Amino acid sequence: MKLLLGIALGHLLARKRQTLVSMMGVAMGVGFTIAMSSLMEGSQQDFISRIVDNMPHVTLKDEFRDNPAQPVDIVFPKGAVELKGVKPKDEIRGIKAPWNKVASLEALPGLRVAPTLSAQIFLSFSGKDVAVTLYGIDIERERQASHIEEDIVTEGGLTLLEGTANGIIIGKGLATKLGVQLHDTLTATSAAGVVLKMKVVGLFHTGIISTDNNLGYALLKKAQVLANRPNVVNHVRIKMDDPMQAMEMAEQLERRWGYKAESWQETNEGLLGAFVIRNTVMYITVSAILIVASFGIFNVVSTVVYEKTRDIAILRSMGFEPADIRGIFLLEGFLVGLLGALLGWALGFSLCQILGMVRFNIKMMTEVQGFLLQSTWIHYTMSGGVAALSATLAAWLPARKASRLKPVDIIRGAA
Amino acid sequence: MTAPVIEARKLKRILPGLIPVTLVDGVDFQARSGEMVAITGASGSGKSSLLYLLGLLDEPTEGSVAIDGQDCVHLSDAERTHLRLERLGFVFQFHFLLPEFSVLDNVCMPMKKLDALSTDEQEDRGRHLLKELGLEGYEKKLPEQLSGGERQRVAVARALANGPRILLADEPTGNLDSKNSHAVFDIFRGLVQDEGKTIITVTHDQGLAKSCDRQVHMADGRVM
Repeated sequence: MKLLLGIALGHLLARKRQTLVSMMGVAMGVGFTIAMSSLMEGSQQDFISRIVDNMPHVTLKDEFRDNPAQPVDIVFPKGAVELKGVKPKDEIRGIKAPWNKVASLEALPGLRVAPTLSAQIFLSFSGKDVAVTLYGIDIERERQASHIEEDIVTEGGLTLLEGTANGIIIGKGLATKLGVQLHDTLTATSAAGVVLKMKVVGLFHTGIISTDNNLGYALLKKAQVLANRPNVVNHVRIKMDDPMQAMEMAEQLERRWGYKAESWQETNEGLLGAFVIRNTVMYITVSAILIVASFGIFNVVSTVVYEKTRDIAILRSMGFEPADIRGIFLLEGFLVGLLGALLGWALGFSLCQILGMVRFNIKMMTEVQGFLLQSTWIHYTMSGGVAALSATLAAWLPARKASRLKPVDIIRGAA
Repeated sequence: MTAPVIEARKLKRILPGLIPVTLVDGVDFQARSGEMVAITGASGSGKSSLLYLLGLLDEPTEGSVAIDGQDCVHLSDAERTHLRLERLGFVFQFHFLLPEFSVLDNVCMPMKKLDALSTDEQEDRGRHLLKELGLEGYEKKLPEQLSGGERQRVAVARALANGPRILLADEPTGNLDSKNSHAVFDIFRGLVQDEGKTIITVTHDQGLAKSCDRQVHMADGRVM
C-alpha cells in the first residue's frame, strides 16, 4: 500500500497545476456544501426552536376530527338509507369539564397546562379595526406553560392583567398597526356583539410576526365575558419537557377524550414539509457541484493513465499485478478527493465565518438580523466523505482501463 | 551438462484478427545457467515476440514455456506475475524508468514490491547494484538528469534488483552509441561469468551478438 501510495503521489506531484485545479473543484463543492447546509440548518433550527419555545407543544381543542355520526347511521350502519337536509344541532362549543381535564393532565409528569378561551375579536382604536385572536388565560398556569411573560417588553408582566379592570396585553406589531401605546384604551368587540373597553397594560415581542401582529392576552374571565361564553374553555395548551413526544401525547389525548389534539408538528406540517423540500433542492444543487468536480478528477486520472502507459507496462513486467495498477490510480482519485475535501473544510469554515458577520434586518415569518448558521460535524463528515467517494469513483473507470492494459502491447508499440 | 533454466517447446504465437498474423511459429528454445544467448534476425522475424513469450509477458497460442522445469503456460496471470517478480528481469530498448522517482527509488521498486527485505536492506542493495554498474553517487538524481547510457545501466540495475536467475533484454543497446553498447554488454558478460546468470538478449548488432555464447537466428517466426 505504501508503495502504491508513493507512486500515486509521485504522479500527482508531477502534475501540480492539474492536480491543484481538480482539488480546487472538490474544495469548492465541499466548501459551498458546508456553508449552504449550515445556512439551511441554522435557519431551520432557529425557526423550529422559536416554534417550540413559543407555541404549545400540544393543543387540545373543542373540535372533532370527524363529524359526529347521525343517529340513523348509528342504528342502521349498513342500511341503504340516505338522509338529506339534516339540520345539525346547535351545540355549545367548548371543552366539557375542562378543569377536570386540566387537573388530570397536571397530574402527569413533565407537563405544564394552560387552559384558554381563544376568541376572535375586533380591536378598534382611532378609527382602525384589526381582527385579533384573544387568549383568555389563567395567569399562574400561563406563566408555567408559555414564555409570554419573558416576551413582555414593558414593565409589570402578566400580573398587570389582574390589577387593571379590563386589561389586555398585545403584540408590538399589533400596537403599531393600531397606533396604540401602553396605557391607551381601545375598544374590543366580539362576534357575540359584546363590546368592552380594554386598557393596554403590556406589549410583547416574540419575533414571530404572525403572533406579534395578531394576538392579545386577557384574563380568562374577561375573555369569557367578551365572547359571551361563561365558564367555557375551548383550548388546553400543553407544554412538555420533551417536545419531541408531542405527537404521541396528542394521539393519546385524542383517543382518551375524543377532542382534537394537535401537536406542534401537525400545526406546522406545511412548514416542516417545506423544509424537507428546501433541503432536498439544496443538496441536489451542491451535489451538482461535486459531480462537476468529479469530471475534473476523471479528466486528471485519465490523462495520467494515458501519459503513463509505458510506466504501467514496466510495472506490470517487473511484477505488479493488475490490482496494484488499479490501486495506484484509484488512490490518485482518492487523494485528490481527500485533499480537496480538507481544503473544502477550510473554505466552508471561512465562508461560515464571513456569512456569520453579515448583518441585515428582514421581517419574514420571523425577524432575522443576520444569517443563522449552524455547522455540525455531520456537515463536514458528509461533504468530505461524499467528495472523497465521488473522487474515487471518478477515478474508477480510468483505473480499470489502466489495469487492463497488456504490457506486451505497450512495449511493442513503444519499440 | 546442466538442465536448462528456461525452455520453450513448439512455441507458437498467432495474433488473431481478420487476417491472423503468425509471430512465432513452432519454436524450440532453451538456455542454461551461465549462458548468454543472442536472438538475432531481421525486423519482424519474431525475435521480440519470442522474448516476450519466454518472459511470460505474452501467452502462446500453442506450445509450452518452462522455467526451472516448471511449466508456466497453465499458470494464472497472478502466478505468472509473481514468477516474473521473483525470477525474471527485463531490460528494454527504452529504459522505461519512472521519471518522478530518483535513480535509487527506481532500482528499489521491484524490491519494494517483493517486500522480502527491510527498507534499509533494499536501499543497501540498490546502492550496491548502482555501484557495481558504475553509478555510485547517482542515487538521488532523477532519470532526466542522466545520459542515455546511464539510464540504461539504471534499467539493468532495476532488472537485477530481486536477484533474478534470468535476464531478458530486448534490444538493450538499440538507443545507445557504440561505447555505451559495449559497456552494457560488458556488464552482461560479467553477470554471466561472475554470477552464473542466464541472459537472453535480442539484438540487431552482429558484433555484439558474436560476443554472446550462442546465437539463435530467426526468420519468419522460426529459428533457422
